[in-house]
Amino acid sequence: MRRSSSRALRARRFADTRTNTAGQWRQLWAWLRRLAHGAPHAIRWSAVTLVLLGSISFALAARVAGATADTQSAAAQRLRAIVADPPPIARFSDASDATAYRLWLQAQPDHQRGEFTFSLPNGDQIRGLVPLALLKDGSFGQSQICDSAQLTSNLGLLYLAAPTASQLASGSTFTEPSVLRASSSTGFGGAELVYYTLRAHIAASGLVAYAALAFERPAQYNADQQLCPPTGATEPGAVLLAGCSVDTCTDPLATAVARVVQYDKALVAADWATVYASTSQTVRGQYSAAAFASVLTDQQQKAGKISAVSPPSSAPQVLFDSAGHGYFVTTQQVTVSQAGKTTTRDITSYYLLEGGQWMFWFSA
Amino acid sequence: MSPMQYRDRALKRLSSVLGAAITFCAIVACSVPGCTSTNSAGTHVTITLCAVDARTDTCSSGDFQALHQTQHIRLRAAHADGTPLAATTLQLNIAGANAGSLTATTANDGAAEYTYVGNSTGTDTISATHVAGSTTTLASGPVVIHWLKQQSIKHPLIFVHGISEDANDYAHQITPSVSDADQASSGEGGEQAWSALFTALGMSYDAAYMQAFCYIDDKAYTAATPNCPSVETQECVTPAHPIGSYAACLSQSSVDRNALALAKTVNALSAAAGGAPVTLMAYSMGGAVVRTLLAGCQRASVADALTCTQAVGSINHAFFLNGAQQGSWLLRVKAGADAATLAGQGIPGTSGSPFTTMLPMVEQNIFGAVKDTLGLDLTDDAETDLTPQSANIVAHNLVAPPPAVDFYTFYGDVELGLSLNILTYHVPAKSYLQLGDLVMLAQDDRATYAPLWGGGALCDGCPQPLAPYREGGSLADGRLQYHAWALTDAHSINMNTLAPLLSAPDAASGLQAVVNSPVQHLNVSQPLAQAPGSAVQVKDITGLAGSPTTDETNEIITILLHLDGAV
Repeated sequence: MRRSSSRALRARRFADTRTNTAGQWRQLWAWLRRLAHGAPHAIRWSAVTLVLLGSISFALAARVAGATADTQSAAAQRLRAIVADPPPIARFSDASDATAYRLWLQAQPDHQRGEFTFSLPNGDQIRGLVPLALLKDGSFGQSQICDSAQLTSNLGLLYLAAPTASQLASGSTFTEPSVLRASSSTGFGGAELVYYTLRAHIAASGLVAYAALAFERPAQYNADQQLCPPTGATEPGAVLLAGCSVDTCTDPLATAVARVVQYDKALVAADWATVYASTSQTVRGQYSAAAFASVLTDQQQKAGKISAVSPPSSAPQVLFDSAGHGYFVTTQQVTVSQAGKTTTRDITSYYLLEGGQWMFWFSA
Repeated sequence: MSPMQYRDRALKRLSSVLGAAITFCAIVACSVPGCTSTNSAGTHVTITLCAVDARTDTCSSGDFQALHQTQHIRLRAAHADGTPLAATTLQLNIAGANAGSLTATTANDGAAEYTYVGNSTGTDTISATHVAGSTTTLASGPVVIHWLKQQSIKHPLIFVHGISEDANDYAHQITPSVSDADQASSGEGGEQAWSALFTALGMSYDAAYMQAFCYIDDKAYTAATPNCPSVETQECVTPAHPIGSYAACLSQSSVDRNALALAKTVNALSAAAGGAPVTLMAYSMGGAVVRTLLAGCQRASVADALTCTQAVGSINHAFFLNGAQQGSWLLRVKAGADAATLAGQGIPGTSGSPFTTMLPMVEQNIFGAVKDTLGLDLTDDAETDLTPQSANIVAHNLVAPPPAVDFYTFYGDVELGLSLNILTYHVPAKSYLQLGDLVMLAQDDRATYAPLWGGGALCDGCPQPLAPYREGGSLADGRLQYHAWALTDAHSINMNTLAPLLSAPDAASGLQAVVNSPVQHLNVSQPLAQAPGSAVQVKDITGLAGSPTTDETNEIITILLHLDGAV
């Protein structure tokens, strides 16, 4: 073959080898030719062919593997979690506002559909009953008419976490109103009767919710000014934001797997800040971000570095625990590298829905 | 090679092979257990020790014994693999008031029984070793013997038992000669409840002035011989008593009505003792009955309230043993409150708590474990009254405890920490949730507060809430009025061991270790927690126990003897 001597061709070849795959293949062919140049004819071409085929196979395998990992993650993120019927009792929490909301979506012994407890930041609880309405999109709503006559019939129970002596005395002869119990019962003293308004929006799945509650003791009641502010004004009382607003709800089923992939990515990258922010209150309620990072750094040294985690391969099923919390389980292949060795094993992890977001809960 | 040479070489080879085989077999055979001498140095021996309580025929971590009487110690020795160590000499080492050593030889089953007599009051700590010098591991022990001077101090004392219990169990322990219909039932918990306490009391105090209070619907009334104090009135229906306000005798009646009945018992006993003041000891619901009485029976009629006020004037000391004076959090949950935001003195609450998610499941699991024994599935008067912030509790909390009575409160303090794994990384527990004795939370020390979640603490004016021991307040004579001890048992549980609870609140899980805690409400009265030598230790405030800490029973008896000037 007559070698080209043109400067343009040489420049092109030089640029090719530096910048693109085609150039790299040409470079390999030239090297193989030089390699074959002194060997006997049959042997050198056999050897060249073998090396060439091996290189091609290796390169293809690497491209396929890389493509497979990327494809798997992308495919995983398109998976949509599955959920069965809403639980009979749904439970929501909002760590930012320090509130919690428990709602009977179905009637249970001694509890009517629409009965609720709303936990306030100071530990007090309001217990009441507002009928559930089915909205057009399949979600549930609870609200009351802001009218003086209606409000004074909205009687709820105020459980005081730490009542004063005067509050104890005033509540000592209280008996529960029959609106809350199928059968009347006496003796559960210490709870006060209060007027309240509740506005709630619960997703059809029972996974996410919004609730706002305001209450007043009858002695302080001032028509509906406090409990029912004008439209557009700030919601009175306490609020719970757990994945819904008054009008819309997020779709946690669509984000479940993406959260897992995001969490795994942060773990592999040792991005402890992201890992912390995505771990449940079980950890965040015990550790500061800095203390948590210190623990994981230490664990990485002792137990080895997590170098890869396989994404979920199928749509997880959202379950509800006996208390009404939504969670799902996923099993993944986890690769750990330590002292030059790698091990891979299957690990099952649990993710918990907190405040409308999936948070890593624990691994089994 | 000639046939002869060939034969010689073959023989040599055969000899070598046989010799090697024999040597090999010898090595293998002598590595099998039992091949070596039983008593050779280097053997690992396991010894279990326990002290026999002759009154209850139980063997536990320790015993109270009267001076100059014989104490029995049982031992069992075994090899490391569990096979009995027969015909071997063991040495018993006694440290303390009656220091010394004894030896005995085990029988074929590895068992031996020692006896010794203590002639000095105080505490002995007893361990055992294998004489042959092999490594000894004590599987249980050392045992502790508290030697008390046999006395008969006249000190009126009434024991008020808990919900669903039988006063006859305690009457029999006070006076062994009285009959107890179910005494022969094996494993009947009541027979063993507080047995160490009654053993110690029996050695020091005149049983003629000790009584077990019978509830107005006490289970004791179902026996042919109820053994209830004569002044007490049965108000439950039995064949011999067909009329009564309670259809069955379950020990689950009204706290207020029992407080009035207790007042009559106090007045009668004090009168019988020539006007001497009465000491009350109360367990569980008994604590609520005592607290109601000490507040003057606020919900009683005027005439009955006077009876209670008179009784209060005849009470000098009150001991609360895992008392229910502020009610049980389990009944508050049963009444409709949400346990997810448990909050109180020293307990992390609100939705920012690390325990928010697990609390409802923990509550359901504990409720399932204790409801049958405590009758929590019913809605009897007792359950109503023991619900936190009930009318009964609100009423007695409106009145401060009487200024002339000193209080000694022991309460459970099970602490639960949650650790977890993040894939292959482990995050240890950092915060601990204080769950009281699982039925009663520790909660608020203040006598006139009624926490939403109830509790069993009482230490009005005491600093350092929930410290292991605290004291405060003052009596007219300058002594401290309140003393409180936390019986602490901390558990760190990995979240993954609680996973079974997600689908079934009563599933077997890592929570079992917590439910089995010796300071759990139902376990704390049993010998495992109460016997001398128990792992449940409290601070000695008298300086007379011989060590900075001692078992709860020894602390109670030492305090009493100290108050009576008998130590």
